[in-house]
Amino acid sequence: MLLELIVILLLGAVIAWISDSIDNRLPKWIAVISLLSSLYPLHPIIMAGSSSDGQAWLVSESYPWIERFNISLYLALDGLSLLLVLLSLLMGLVAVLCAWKEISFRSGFFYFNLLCSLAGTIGVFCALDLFLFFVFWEIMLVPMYLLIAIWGYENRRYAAIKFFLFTQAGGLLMLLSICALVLLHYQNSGELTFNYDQLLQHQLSESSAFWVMLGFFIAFIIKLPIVPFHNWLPDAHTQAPTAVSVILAAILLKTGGYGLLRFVLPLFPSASAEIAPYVMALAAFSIIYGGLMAFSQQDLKRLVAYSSISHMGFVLFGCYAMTQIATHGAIMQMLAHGVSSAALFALVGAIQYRYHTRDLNQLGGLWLRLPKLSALLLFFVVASLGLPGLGNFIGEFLVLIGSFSAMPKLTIIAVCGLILAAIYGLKIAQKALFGPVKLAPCADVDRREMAMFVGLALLLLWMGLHPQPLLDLAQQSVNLITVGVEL
Amino acid sequence: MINPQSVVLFSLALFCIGIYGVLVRRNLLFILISIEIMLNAVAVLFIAAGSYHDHVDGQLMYLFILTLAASEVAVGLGLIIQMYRRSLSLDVDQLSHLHD
Amino acid sequence: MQDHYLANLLMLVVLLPLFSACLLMLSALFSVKLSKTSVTLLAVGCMALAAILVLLVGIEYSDYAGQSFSYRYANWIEIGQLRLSFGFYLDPLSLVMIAIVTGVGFLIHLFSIGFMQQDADFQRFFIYLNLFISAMLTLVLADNLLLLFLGWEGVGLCSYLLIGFWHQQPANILAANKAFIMTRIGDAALAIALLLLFLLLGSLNIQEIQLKAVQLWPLDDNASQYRLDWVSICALLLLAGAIGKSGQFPLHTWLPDAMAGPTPVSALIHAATMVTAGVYLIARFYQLFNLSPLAMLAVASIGAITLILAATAALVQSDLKRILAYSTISQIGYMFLALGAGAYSAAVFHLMTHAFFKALLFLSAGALVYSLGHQQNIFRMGGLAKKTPFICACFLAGCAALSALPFMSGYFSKDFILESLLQQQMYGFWAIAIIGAFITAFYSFRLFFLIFCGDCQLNPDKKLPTSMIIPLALLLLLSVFGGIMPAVLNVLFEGGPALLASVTNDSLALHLLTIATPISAVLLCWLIFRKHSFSERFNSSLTPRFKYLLFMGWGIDRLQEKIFTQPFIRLCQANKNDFIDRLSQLLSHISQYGHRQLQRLQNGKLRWYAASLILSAIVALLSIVLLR
Repeated sequence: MLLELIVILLLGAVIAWISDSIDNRLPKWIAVISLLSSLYPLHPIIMAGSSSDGQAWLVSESYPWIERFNISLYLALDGLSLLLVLLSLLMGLVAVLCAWKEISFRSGFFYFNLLCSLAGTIGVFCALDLFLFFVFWEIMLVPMYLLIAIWGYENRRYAAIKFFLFTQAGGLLMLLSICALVLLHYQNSGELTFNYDQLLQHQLSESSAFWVMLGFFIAFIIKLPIVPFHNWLPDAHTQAPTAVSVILAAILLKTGGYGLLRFVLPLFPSASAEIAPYVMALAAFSIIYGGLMAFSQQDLKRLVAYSSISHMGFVLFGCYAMTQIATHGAIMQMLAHGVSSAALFALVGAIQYRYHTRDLNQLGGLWLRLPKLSALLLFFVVASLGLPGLGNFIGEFLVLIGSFSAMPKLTIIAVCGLILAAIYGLKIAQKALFGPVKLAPCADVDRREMAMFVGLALLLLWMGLHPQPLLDLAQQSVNLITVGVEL
Repeated sequence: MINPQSVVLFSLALFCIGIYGVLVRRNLLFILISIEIMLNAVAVLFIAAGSYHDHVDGQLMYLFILTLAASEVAVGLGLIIQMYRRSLSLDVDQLSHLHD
Repeated sequence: MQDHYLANLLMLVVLLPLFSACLLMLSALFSVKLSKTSVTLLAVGCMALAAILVLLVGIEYSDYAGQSFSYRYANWIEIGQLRLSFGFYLDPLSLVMIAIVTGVGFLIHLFSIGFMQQDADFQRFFIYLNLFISAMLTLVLADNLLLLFLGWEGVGLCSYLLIGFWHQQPANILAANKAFIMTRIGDAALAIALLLLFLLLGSLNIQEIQLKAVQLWPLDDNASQYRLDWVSICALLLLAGAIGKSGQFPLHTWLPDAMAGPTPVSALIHAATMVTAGVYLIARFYQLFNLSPLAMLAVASIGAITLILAATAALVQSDLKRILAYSTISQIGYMFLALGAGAYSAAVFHLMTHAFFKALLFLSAGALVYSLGHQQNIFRMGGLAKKTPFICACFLAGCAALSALPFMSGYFSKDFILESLLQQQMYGFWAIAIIGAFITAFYSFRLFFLIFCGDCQLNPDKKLPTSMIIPLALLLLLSVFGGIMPAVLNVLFEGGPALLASVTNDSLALHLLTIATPISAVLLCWLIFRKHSFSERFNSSLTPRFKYLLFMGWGIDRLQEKIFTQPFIRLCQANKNDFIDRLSQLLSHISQYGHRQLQRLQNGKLRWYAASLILSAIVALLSIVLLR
């Protein structure tokens, strides 16, 4: 079922590319169709839902691939990855809708790359063979590089290369760690395997565990991104076309958090527990630093990008608090940030599409020109600054309340991040929406955009007011993650 | 039987002349000739070594070098003619377009 | 089932304004044009219905005889120990609060119809207003801290939106930002309190927290009283949250600026309801606060400082609404003082009467501003008593109640506070309160005389519509007679948590002093202003510099800007380009430098290549030979 899911997307990608030569309006429809039809293989899993208690995986399947090295196509889903796969498909749809009018140049190749990248991401969320995971990790990156480098804005080459170098450096470290892990396992047990379940049973010696973990850890925090490795993100976001920003913020960053939860914490519980205080300090610093940087930006997209850094700090914070509540919080934060940041980038893209500027000093008084778009922007800004009743608050609150017992002082610093969130959030509203009118009249949101944004807003409200189904779905995974590390 | 030591010295002298020619001459044609001299120096050494050790390999290598030198001269001269047609000069110091 | 009936009533009270807000919002979003009449009907109608339902709640609740009523509607979050639900908790305190919110809220809605009639954003105004009412009701009814926090942030957001309602003027937006961020600082403290309480007590249900706190940290008479123990830390953090929301020192500077919003908003949010949320919070956690003498002292001290600070600042302001804003801050200081003395019922009582007379004052100020064509400077006014007799009467009643002249509503509540201060033997605070009362009476009548006596300078050009007169008249009655209600309050509080300190009469002399203070202040004010034929000239007796200091609210605003805002902005500006990015760019610069250096070797000179080839061959050979 899972293989079908990925194959449908890849197939859709190829068809979209080919169809471009027939009519350049075809690719986007093919993208929508393939995204919707990829939900079909998932529906029995969603229907069964959280009822299958006790088992680690909701669904799993394995096909032989490179038998010489005992590498297989081992794909499986649990609550955590199911949530993220659904988020990916949904945000993929949002991205296609964002690109609807914006992309006309070589649209076939654009949707090819978009769908490939999505397929790679979904593969990352499903793969439980470490080699396969790495392959998907790369499949996700290369199309993304092309998307930024070809369809980006003025400084796109620089941003694309920066993005690629950072993530590739992380990927290399991860590859080294995967090899080291597998070889160490081979030395101990005499069996060469890349299988996650088997590697999970294996206990590494303390010193080697630390170094192997570090490789994974750095790869994932580059992706997340956390502060010393964050600077690819603002450039990539600023230069990427809207749809790609949406994918980048909503899904790609989540692969970092997913990697931490799926691999680093369960595979190296004691090494993770050892570095947890430092990691949490780093996360708290990231929250504050991201917030400060967001406030000092003039470019609207850059501002939102830095706010993402600040929000993803909460994810790392929650992961390393190593309590059930905080882990739930990290997952909720990933989902909610996925939705809210996607909406924010889509809105900024909509503004840029209309006025060809993202500069906060040139915007202003948007409320009088585009009242509906402004109201929506205000809603998502308010969501991202953590208003209770919306999804982001639940994530942040759970992270904070779960971490407080572990690290009270750092948690208090993280709470200050909420004040910063208010400051930079209001800056967007103040500079872009309010004040005297500086811009010419323009068409307000059309039906396509309205449907998209209202849908996302309702999703956030649902996450904020009734998060229990999501929490229940993730419960099993959280148990697995925290069982090893909880004291 | 010639003293092998003198053969080695002769070949060394020949080789050094070749090197000197390569380094000092600026005309491509002369550089090519100098390279030929260096090849011949090595070839002489092979023949001498072959006869000293009573082995046929030395002469075999000489034949090999001979073919190589011939083909090299053919290709090299062809290139030089092309180059002269293009830039009307055979001065290597002026022919440095490849450096950037 | 009686329980369900009451529960459904409560839910409807909260959901009705939310429903109308959502409906109006959706109609705006999907371009369904609504006429002003239908917007009015929907928004004000829902509000009226909510107010009537609260009346029904009150009747229904009287069966409980002060017992608390709580009901859980649905689960919110449930992970392990963390169990949160959407649940309401009704006791006399929350009943009084929802009565004030819906009652005063309804009157202000009614008033807004006329006030906002000409505004293009009529619909947006009512969306925000209804949203606010709903959030405020959630705040006061919540049975757990997180739901309370939801309401708490919700009212903050609505306050932000309404202060910046006229968003074309950048100044309004700055004021709105200031309000939101300042209160957000308090909210962060409240959030930390929430985390700490959950960590220490394992629950977020307000009643459970207090029960466990009483068991866990019994008040120890022998130990030194003002210890900084866990309960004090929790209480102080809650206090910090309350300070932010209620505009108390040192986080009060946003409130005078918040007057940038439309006047009904100032009446509803920044006088009657939202700013009293801090008082409500402390009253709600009275058991916790009772356990910590230190926190109680802090509450009282902050109240006292704020009370004097704001009252003196109000003495010299020239903007009508700013005076009222400072007076609100100062009156909430009174409430904090009462809370600090443990006189929770006195605080809530004062909260109620203050809601009446301050709403009256703001609304009549609004009416005045409306009829004068948006003139807010009191020095431009004067002699309006004859031109606008009705507004004058309203103002007079409001000022009298604010000054606590005998037998007005404010008199009873302030008297309550003063007496309970005496009872607790907090004589210092009592003296401050008396001085404050004197200043309060002085500035309120300065305001009154400057506007309504003396020479006439402005002519009112608009007649008030009925929808503005009715709420004014009702509030006037409430301000005058609202103080007779303690009897009613007493019934409500009976049997419930012993909020009401039984008031015993102290010596008659002290009692007379509390009556005499405001009267003497009014007389003094009259004498001074009559001599100068009701102009501001008397103030020149103050040194200009001191007057300026007072005018700037003791310069606290300026100080905060110097100490926090400017360094923050400078820090952000300094690191605008992200020094970490610079560091990683350094890496690329280094490799580019290396690239350029190595590039030099490839100079295209064939003989140079040959020479280096030969040279390195010789070096290699030599090193092999020599090193062997």
